[in-house]
Amino acid sequence: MSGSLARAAIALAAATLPVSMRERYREQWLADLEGAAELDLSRAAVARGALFFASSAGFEARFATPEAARRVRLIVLVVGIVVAGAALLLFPPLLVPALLILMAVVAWRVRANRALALACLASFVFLLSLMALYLLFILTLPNPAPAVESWSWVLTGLTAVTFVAAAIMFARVWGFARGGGVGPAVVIAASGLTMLAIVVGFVSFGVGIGLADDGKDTSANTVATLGAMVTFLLAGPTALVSLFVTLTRSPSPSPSPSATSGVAATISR
Amino acid sequence: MKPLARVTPATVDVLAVLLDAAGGRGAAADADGGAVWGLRIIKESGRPPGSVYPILERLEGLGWLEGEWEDDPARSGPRRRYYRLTGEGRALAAATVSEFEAKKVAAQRASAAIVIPIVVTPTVGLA
Repeated sequence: MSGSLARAAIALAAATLPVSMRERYREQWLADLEGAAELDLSRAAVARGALFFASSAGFEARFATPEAARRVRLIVLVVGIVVAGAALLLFPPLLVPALLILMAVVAWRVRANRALALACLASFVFLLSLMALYLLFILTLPNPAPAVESWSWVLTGLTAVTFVAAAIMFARVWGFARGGGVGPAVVIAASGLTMLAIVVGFVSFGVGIGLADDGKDTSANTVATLGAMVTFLLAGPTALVSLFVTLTRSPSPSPSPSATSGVAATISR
Repeated sequence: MKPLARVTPATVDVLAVLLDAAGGRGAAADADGGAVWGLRIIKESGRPPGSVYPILERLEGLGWLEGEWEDDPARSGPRRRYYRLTGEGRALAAATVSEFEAKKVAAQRASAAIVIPIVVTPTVGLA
């Protein structure tokens, strides 16, 4: 990475930080960039580190104040209720994916990271099954109308993009879950992704069932029914496990008793 | 001073570098009283900057570390950021690293102690 490109990356990373942190980190990273060769480190690594910091710790710092965190929690809660409510009214079997949203919100509240990771995993599996179903839908319709075929391809593409996002999010959340706490940025992204998965799923089943009703095509009907079965069979147990993990996790992480006593002993010395 | 909610191997590596600089793990204390350049922590810990920068931010926020700007009139340009463990932070860091290493050793011993039973079945006289 050239020096000017690395400096541009650092300027970009610093620009995304809260104002109170911006100047401090810009100067620190530029100094690290200049001194990287002295320690045999690559400038690209420093630039990547700055960008990663801005997208993780820097982003989370925006929600560090209790007021900001409360506001975001409220927004996510309202959006979750609206989306889940609308989806349930229009298509009652979506109860299970709606439960996943609830799990994500509850997971945020009690920091049950494994539950959140499982919600992401459910989205991941759910989208995988949908993608396969769209392709099956296209392939099994004997003579689909051009509009139907193009819509199916659009849905396949949309699902594929969401699927990749779900995979990345799952990997990220799972990494945090193994270590402990997870930041609000990750929770917001994971909750949003779960909602997106449900919207995509809803559109998919709506299209599938609508086509089956209109076209009297049994293969489309089969695809829609199979899709619903696969989704709920996969998402249902995951939601139950998420619920279990969420309810059995302690509300706030704290150091183990041995760690606390060890530290206390060290300090008293 | 707040405890760490999450202790990862990368966090332990960073704390170990800072403890070494402060003379807390047998090494000689740094000439600057334990203050270490942030980029040197990255180098010494062997962890990528994307892991170390957030760890330093978290530790500083919790009061384990204090950061300070370089004060070297001989160098021009942007100033380097130095970090040192606070008095209480040093005690917490030492306890955290010791506990992590003890758990690691215990886990290694436990995995080495697994015995796989071998059952030999006689095959003579079956006919």
